[in-house]
Amino acid sequence: MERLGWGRRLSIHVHLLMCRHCNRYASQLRALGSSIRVLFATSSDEKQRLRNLERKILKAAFGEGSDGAASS
Amino acid sequence: MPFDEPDFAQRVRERDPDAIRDVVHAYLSHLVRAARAAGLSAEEADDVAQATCMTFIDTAPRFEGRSHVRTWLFGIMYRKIQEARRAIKRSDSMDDIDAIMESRFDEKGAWSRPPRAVDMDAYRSEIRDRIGDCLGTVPDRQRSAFVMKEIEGLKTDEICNIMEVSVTNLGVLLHRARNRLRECLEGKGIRDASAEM
Repeated sequence: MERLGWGRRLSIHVHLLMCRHCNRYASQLRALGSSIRVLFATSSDEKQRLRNLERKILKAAFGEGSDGAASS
Repeated sequence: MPFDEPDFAQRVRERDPDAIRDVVHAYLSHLVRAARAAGLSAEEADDVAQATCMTFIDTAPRFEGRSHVRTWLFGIMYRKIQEARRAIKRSDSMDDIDAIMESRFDEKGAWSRPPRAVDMDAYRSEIRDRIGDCLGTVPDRQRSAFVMKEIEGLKTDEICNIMEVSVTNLGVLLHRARNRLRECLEGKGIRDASAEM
């Protein structure tokens, strides 16, 4: 949609208002996108693991004492 | 963000530790998450994200700053995931999801088999329960495009740059990924919304 001209976008919106099947289809796609973002949100356990991984990477790159990873 | 400062690309090229640290800190979680969503195990995702960061650091002197550093990083990771999947089983040129979608319309282009009406709250809940299985049915390139667009929120131009595809091709990949996921969820028995029937 982001690449379409305003006329085309408008006609799609009007169609979605009139066609319940397409409206249902579009709602399901929107729900899919929003739910999947929630699903892959980072948990607190994950955050600790990431901090460790970050330290490992920076240590490999810059050596001991270079792991300014846990700054936030 | 420091990534938008004019001297940032220069600092990356010089492998300035603070600049490198900022990049790794800002994007490591995104890389791991995208690798997981692309179908890698937790361990594989960590390995790929780590290898991506190390390649980024190694190749930093070549970073010209013409694209965002995030595009550069995801480009490295995309190639690493591709390398890890040399034996690609599916082709994106012909895809059975297109035939499945076509079968839902009659010759006049009207829905002959419309999407089932669902209770949207139940739908969201079932997406969370079943999406793991369904993501596994999406071919790699489609899944990579979907993950970068829907989960990481990368811009269309960035994804095209990373995957070396046109805007049209990216649209096809995303369309197929979304349809395949939607069909999969419907096939797994997403509950009907009695109120809408």
